[in-house]
Order: sequence, then structure tokens, then C-alpha cells
Amino acid sequence: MANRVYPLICYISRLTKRLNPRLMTGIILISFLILIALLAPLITWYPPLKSLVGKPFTPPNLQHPFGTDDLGRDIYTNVIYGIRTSLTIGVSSVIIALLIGVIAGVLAGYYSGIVEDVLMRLTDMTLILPQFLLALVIVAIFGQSFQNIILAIGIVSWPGIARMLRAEFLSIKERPFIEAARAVGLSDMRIIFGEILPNAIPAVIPYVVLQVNTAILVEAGLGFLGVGDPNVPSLGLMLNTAQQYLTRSWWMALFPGLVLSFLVVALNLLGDGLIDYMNPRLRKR
Amino acid sequence: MFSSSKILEVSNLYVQYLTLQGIVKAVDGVSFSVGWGESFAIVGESGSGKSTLAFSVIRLLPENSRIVNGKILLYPENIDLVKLPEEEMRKIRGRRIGMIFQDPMTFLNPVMRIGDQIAEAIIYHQKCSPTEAKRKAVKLLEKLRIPDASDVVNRYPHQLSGGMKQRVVIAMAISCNPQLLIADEPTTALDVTVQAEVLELLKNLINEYNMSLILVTHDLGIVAEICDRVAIMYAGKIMEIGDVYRLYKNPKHPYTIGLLNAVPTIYKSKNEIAGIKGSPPNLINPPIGCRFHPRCPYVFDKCKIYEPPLIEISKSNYVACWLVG
Repeated sequence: MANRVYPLICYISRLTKRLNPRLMTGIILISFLILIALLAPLITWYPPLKSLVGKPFTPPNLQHPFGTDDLGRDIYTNVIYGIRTSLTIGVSSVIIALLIGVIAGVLAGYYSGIVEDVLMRLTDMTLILPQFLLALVIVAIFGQSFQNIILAIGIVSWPGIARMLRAEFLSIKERPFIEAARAVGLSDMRIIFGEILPNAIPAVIPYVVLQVNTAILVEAGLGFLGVGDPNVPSLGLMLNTAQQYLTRSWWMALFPGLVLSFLVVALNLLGDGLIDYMNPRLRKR
Repeated sequence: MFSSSKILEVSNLYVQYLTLQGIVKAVDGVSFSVGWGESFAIVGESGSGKSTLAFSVIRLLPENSRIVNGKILLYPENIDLVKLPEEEMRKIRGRRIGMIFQDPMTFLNPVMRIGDQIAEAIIYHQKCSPTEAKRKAVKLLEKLRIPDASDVVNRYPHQLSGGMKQRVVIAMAISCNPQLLIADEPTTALDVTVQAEVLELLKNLINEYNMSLILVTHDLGIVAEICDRVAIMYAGKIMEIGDVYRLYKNPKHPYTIGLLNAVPTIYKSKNEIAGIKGSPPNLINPPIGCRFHPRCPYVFDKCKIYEPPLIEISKSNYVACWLVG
């Protein structure tokens, strides 16, 4: 047993030496949060969003570690499920943003001329609109459902990805190995997705992680302004309710707020650490 | 069997670059042909248009260039590569004409495994499964005498040495058994000892597969090593074409004579290398008459006004100089 565990420890310690402390902390915190989100039904003992599981406005005690809110819902349960919601919305909206952003950026970067002009002006048009306001308008028009919120956040956050990918493509497509790929007769699609995209992806990874962060904040903001989906436990929505009772029950605002900050800090550390890690000039050998 | 028939014929080709300073006439009325199984060298100094010529055959010129006039015929079907649509051209590249590039360090994709890069063209042209293509890639590398080929296919370019990378580039070029191989200065980026190895390999491959070769280089030593015929280019024009033996033994054009004189030898000790005085002309405004006349030691009045055509001096030997004829 011991001689199996030892190489593993060596491997991990070697890995940690290569990672910078911020990235390391980010990875640990995020894995912890993801674990909590996955195990939510096992570590809570009330159903989420169920009202009157306790007396309304109960301060933190053993049954309700974070207290209860105005409708007698258990805040601890809702916070744990709120992490789940935040991460789901963050990740899925970024996947939507990636789909749009990759297509737009890749086409604009590879084909110059009219394709590039049209796509880039479209990107600029989306970029000048304030992200949060645009998401607010989309949700207000199409309704406050979970899917609409994800779509809205996805639609407002693709331009950055498109711009970065286009810039990467512009420089990579001039490199000699692309010419070599043309010389063996490969098609445009193979060159774009097989040759250029794998070279361009490392540059956008940190940005994408930070974009998850922004998406979570936008969702919380929407919830805080009261346009979140009321059928899903959301940290933003909880903070919105809490502000009315801030003077009489502090726990309603404190715990969702703390957890939200924790989530954002963890993602920021991860994103920032990745920027340093991916940039060979900043990496210490 | 096919030694007398042609595989490629370039006739009266004009290629220009549009730049802010004006139109650069990089290739200006060039004609030559390459026979089946023949090794043809295009020699010239930097900026003489030799690489442009090679790249226009496979139609991989930069965006600011255009082929103004001329024909590039690929035999036996007589396809004119100048007029061929891009879709059709793609099928020719790799399968009919392979290309070996100058610098193997930059011509390999840094994030793809060696085997995948070689397999890519095989999958595209021969429509076989990825595992099959990968097996062929290993075979190709073994053929190119790369030790431990089955391990090398799983490596990335940065894990290989320069000579190995150049061999991978050659493997990519010959992966679909092209009949014509274009090599653009294939050994300039390599050490001299590795150069010899790669050349030897190239020579064997050409003989084994009966491929034709167009070698673009400025190294006259390489030419003597593997080529049958040579074209000497200067300022976008061919100055002299001939078989290697005749041209080295008995150069006719003053520029060829100058080039051969400029090569240092190990037999005679020279204190100085005999260069050709002056520098190549600006190809936006090339000199009137013979392009070489401002630097030519034998210049006379006719050279400054009339441009000499390629004059046949014997079978398949041509010289563009008023001194001959």
C-alpha cells in the first residue's frame, strides 16, 4: 500500500510546485464548492424553498444553522442549493457564450473581408450595450424563468470571447504551419478546428473562467433586483428579501452574502492564477 | 519509361506583388519544364523570385500577389494550375504535388502530435480510418529512418531535434505519394551533417518512388548532389538552364560564372571570396535591357537596350545572353 501511495504524493507535490499559490487556492476552493453543490441533498435536512420548516425569523440555532427567513424557510438549505444554482447558471451561460463567441470569432478571424466586417460590427454592437442592462431587458421581455436567465447571460457575454479568438486567429493563421497544412491540401474547416483552434484556446481559458464569475454575479444581480426565477433557490433573490428585514434579522443577509463572496473570490483566484499559469513569461521555472 | 515525357510545364509565367511602394515583378516571364522522374533545381540569390516561382506552382502565394499571365500545366491531363478553382487545387496539393518547407521548426503545428499531423493528409486524401492512417504514418517515419517511430508519432514537435522535424516535414509531403515534390530550401535550417543525411534520404526517396523534384535553393553544392538540371534565376528571370554537368563545367552566362566563382572550394586556398560586384536590382523598377547588365563585367551597348531571349545552345541548354548567339 505504502509504495503505491508514495509515488502519488510525489506526483501531487511536484504538481503543486508548478502551480502558483493563487491557482492552487482557487482550485481547492472551487473543488470544495463543487463538492458541496453536488452533495447538497446529503448535507441538508429540509427540502429547498419549503416554507414554514421552522418559525419565521428564527436566529441561527442547531436545527437551523443559518436561521430562517420571513417565510420560515431554512437559510442553510437554500444557501447550499443556491451554490448549485449559481454554478449551473455560470457554467451553462458561459457554454452558450462560447458557442456563439467561438463561431463568430473563428469565422471573423479566418475569413477576412465582408464576413469579418459584419461579424465584428455585430460584436461591437453587443459590446457597447451594458451587459447587465441588456440581460435585465431580455429577462424582463421573455419572462423570469431559469432557462431565460441562462440564455440572457449567455447572449450578453459572447463578444469578449469572439474578439479574443479573432485576435488569436489573425496571428496564428499567418504562421508557417498553417501554410504547410494548406500545402497538404486540407480543407478550411480542418485548418480552422484542427490546426488553429487548439493553438488559440489556451489564450481564452482564463477569460472564460472569469466569465463564469461575471455570469454568477449577473445572476445574483438579477435576483437582487427581483427578476430572478422565484422557483429556484438563488443567492441574489435571498439577498433581495433580506434587505427588507436587515435591521431585525441580520442572518438573512449575512450568510447568502458570505457564500456569494466566497464563490466569487474562489473563481477570481482560479482565473487570475490561470492567467499567470498560461503565460510562460510570468511563470517561474 | 517516362523519362522523356514532361510532368510539369511552366510557360511565360508572370507573378507580381502589390506593395505600397509599387508593383514588384517577382517572376517575369519564366518558362521551363520538368520531366518525369527528373530533379530540377532553381538557383538564385535572395529576392530573385525563386521561392515565388515554387509557391506559384502549388498556388500558395501571399494575398497581395497575383499571377498576371502564363500557364502552369500539369501532365498527363494538361491541367492548367493557374486557372484551376481552389476546390480542385486542394485535391492536387498533397496528392499530386507535395511541398517540403524551409524551416521545420515553424512548419509543424506545436499542439498536434507528430503522428496526427502526418495522418491528417492521409485521412483527407485517401479517405482511410484514423488508425489506418496512423499506422501508415509510423511506416513512413520508419522509411525515413527515424528510430523508434512508433514512439515518435506520439510526441509533440518540441520534443524532436531539427533533423527529425525536417524528416517529419518530408514524411508529410510524401504521405500521399505525390508525383512531384517541391522543396523550398529544405536544408537551410539544418546543421551541415544533418543536411547531408536529409539530402541522401531525399535522393533515395526520389529514386525509389520515381518522383520528380523541384529544388529551390541558393546552395550550389546541394544542386550538384541531387539534381539533373538547373535553372539559374536572377531578378525574376531565368538566366541559364542546362544539365548540371554542363553548367558547372562550362557555364555560359556571366552571372552563372560569377556565382560559381563565388563558391569557396577546399582545393584552392583563396584569401578572399570572389563576389559579384553590386547588388540585385529593385524589382519595382528593373533595369531596361538585360537585367544583369549593371553588374556584368562583359556588358556592351546592346545589353543596355534589348533584353536577350533564352537562346538554345544545345539540346535543353539555354542561355539568356547576347554574348552567346
